[in-house]
Amino acid sequence: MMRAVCSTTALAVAISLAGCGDPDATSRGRTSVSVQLNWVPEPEFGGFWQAELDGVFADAGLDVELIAGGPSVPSAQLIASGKVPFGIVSGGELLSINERGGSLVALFATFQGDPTAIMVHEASPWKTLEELWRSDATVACEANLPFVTFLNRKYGGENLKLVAHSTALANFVNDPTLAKQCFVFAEPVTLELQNVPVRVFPVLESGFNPYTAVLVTTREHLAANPETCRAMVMALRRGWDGYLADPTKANAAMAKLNPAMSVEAMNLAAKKQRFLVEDETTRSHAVGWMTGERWNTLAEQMNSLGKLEQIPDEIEAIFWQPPVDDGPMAPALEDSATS
Amino acid sequence: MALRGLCRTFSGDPPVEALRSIDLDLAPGSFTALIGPSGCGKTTVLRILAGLDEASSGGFEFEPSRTPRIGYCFQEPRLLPWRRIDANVALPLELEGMPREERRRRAGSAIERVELGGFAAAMPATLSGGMRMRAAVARALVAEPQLLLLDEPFGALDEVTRYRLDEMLHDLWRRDRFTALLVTHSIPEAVFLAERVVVLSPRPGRIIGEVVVDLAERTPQVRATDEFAHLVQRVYRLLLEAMGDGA
Amino acid sequence: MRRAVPRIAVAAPPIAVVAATVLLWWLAVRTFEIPEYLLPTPGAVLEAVWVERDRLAWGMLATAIGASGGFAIAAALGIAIGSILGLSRFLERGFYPLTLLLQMVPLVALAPILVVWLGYGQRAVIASAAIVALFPVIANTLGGMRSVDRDLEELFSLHRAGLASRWWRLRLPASLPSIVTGLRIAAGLAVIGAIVGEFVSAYAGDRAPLGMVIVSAMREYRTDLMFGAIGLAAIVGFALFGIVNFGGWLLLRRWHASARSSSD
Repeated sequence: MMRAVCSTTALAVAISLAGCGDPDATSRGRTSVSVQLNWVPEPEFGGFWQAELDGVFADAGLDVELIAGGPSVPSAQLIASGKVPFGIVSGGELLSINERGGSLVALFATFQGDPTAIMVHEASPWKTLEELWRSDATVACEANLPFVTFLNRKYGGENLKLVAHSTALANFVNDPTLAKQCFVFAEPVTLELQNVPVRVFPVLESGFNPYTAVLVTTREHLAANPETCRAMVMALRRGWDGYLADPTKANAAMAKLNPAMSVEAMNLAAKKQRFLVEDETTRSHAVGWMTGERWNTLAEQMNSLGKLEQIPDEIEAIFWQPPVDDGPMAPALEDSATS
Repeated sequence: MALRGLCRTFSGDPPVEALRSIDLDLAPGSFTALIGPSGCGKTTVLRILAGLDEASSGGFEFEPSRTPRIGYCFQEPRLLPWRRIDANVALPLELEGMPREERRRRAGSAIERVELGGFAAAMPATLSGGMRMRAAVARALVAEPQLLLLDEPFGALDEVTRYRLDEMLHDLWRRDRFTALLVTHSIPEAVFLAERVVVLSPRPGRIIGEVVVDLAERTPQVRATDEFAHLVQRVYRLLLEAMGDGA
Repeated sequence: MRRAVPRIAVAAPPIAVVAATVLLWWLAVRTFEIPEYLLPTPGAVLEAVWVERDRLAWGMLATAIGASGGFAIAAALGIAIGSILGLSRFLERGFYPLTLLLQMVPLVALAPILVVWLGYGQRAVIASAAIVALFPVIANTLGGMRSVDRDLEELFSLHRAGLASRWWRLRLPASLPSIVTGLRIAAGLAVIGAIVGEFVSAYAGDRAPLGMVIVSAMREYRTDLMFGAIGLAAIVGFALFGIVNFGGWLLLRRWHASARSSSD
């Protein structure tokens, strides 16, 4: 319930953390940018808060405003139309909106493993996702998302009843027969702390694993402000390094802005999400690293599901990331060419 | 039917004494007219008899002691605008729970008697004032009342229509012989219809006197006779006396 | 002798305005190169409606059923409550503020709670529609009851009519023009209430109601389908309104002046 209240007023809530570290910030002439998040402050955005607390944004010459989102906030459209320079979307959203006139470019993929999952009550009869999907259960999820079509394709799902995905947990708690879409490390953690045991089925185990919580900007913005974009990505990488090492301070800051999740829950969630943020790719490159191969896989999967009409010919054009060791944090004067 | 010491005071600031000690005997089948200046409480007498108002003191009794069936004609037709004339006329019977066939029959005959024959299916809005008043009379008579109370029913109509309706009322009374009590402002009307014209004083209303109307026949032509004119004069004088008497 | 205004002259102005609006819309999208995820062209909307016609037809049916159910409940309950409140000033003063509350509570906030109470599916949709449509029926019924001709009330008192008889034979027919006005308003509101309810409580799928289609399309950035569904929702609203209007005309045509001038 509280979550719902938070997220529906989200668009109006602008969290400016400027001046947190350095009172003379504005006089130093930092670049002001805003980032439209697609949910309320949670461990999935931990890197941002860590970067702010550690002064990483300041070092990079950035004055960052983090705008909380929610289920009713059209973050992708806000970013694509240029209302905000940066924002967070899911991988599938980027491809969809680009097909409808948008020109988003991915800069940083927070999750190498998609945290999307379906949770059911511990006492319910389904032991696997396939079992659930073949039954006649009621599942609260965003039915139009590609993963739902993917699961329908794979497991059938004719008898399944899909209903609206809301932020409130009340329905799920009151109804032991309900299944609900969630993030593996978020809602289940909150419920465990409330003594409501659940069983979680991660969707990626079925073979659909898009990049999630992807930082994007528009092609136009990237072309006009390459230094800013580079600085943002570098700062975010450092922020995530710090958050993975110790998330407690950032979680304290976020918990103040999100009454629906306690600090305790956030700390637990941060621990649980590590394995989705870090893997061999990030260890050999950097946090948030993306490959053309995975973007291609996503495009092909969405195309075969009927969610994407055409696979982009030049997959390299939809993402851009500065090389791992790209020099000092301050923006370079010349245009650093697209990678 | 008799009224004994009937009094009515309306509460207020200051209280209004409308009627003071009215004593009146109504023989069964008689036609009595009540006449008097405005505000003398004559309408109040009717309303008390009909049960629409209560006497402050005194009362009335009926013989035999059962309450008679009462018909009432208001100053306005008071027809339900969404019902046809026949449904309007049948309303009292409907409220009594009479079955439809019987209702229809009785209403039909009442409508014929007030000479609204072809208009049973018409809506009130399509009828003239006079015709609507006829329908109201039909409705008052449809339940075959023993006592018919009439509160200046034709006052809003033009002179000629008024004559015709008075004649109609007279014919109806002659045939059915209900007891009638008519309140009116029109002396000629009172003389034409009533056997007895009772005159009230200005507020608080008391009975000042009465004129017995002993006309041999009450045809339309009787209005033009000297006898009629004399009767009108006598009532008029009584009325003047009443008005000069107290304020 | 004036000739009756030909039908075409009556229909021409609104048609012209609609056509002009569509043309401006199309021009705007072309001139400003508005991307599809923000605003589709009229052509794209029509195409989406055609391509998804099966899904949208089912959607219209589902929404129409939900809205009609809610409307029927609002009509029955509203007339009953309005009649009861009309019986005494005491009752009216006591309970009218509560009914005002109905109008004030934002449905968007109430709808999720309805789902918790009533479960997913049509029940919550019908409840949403009924809640939104209820107040105008109560208010108009009460207004009608309060303005019944006192002379006619007295006529019924003369005949010692009981309460039920009085209500059925006098007060209800006398209030009918007011009630019909209230019902006209309620019809449109019922559709809105149904759509909002569908946002949160409907089942997704090929037979999903329009509210669910709108929300799904929005999330997929399929603005063409979204606008198409919204347009069809408006048509459902018009249809329900039209039926109520026609019903009102049937009931009132014989005696009430307002019914004679075809109001819309």
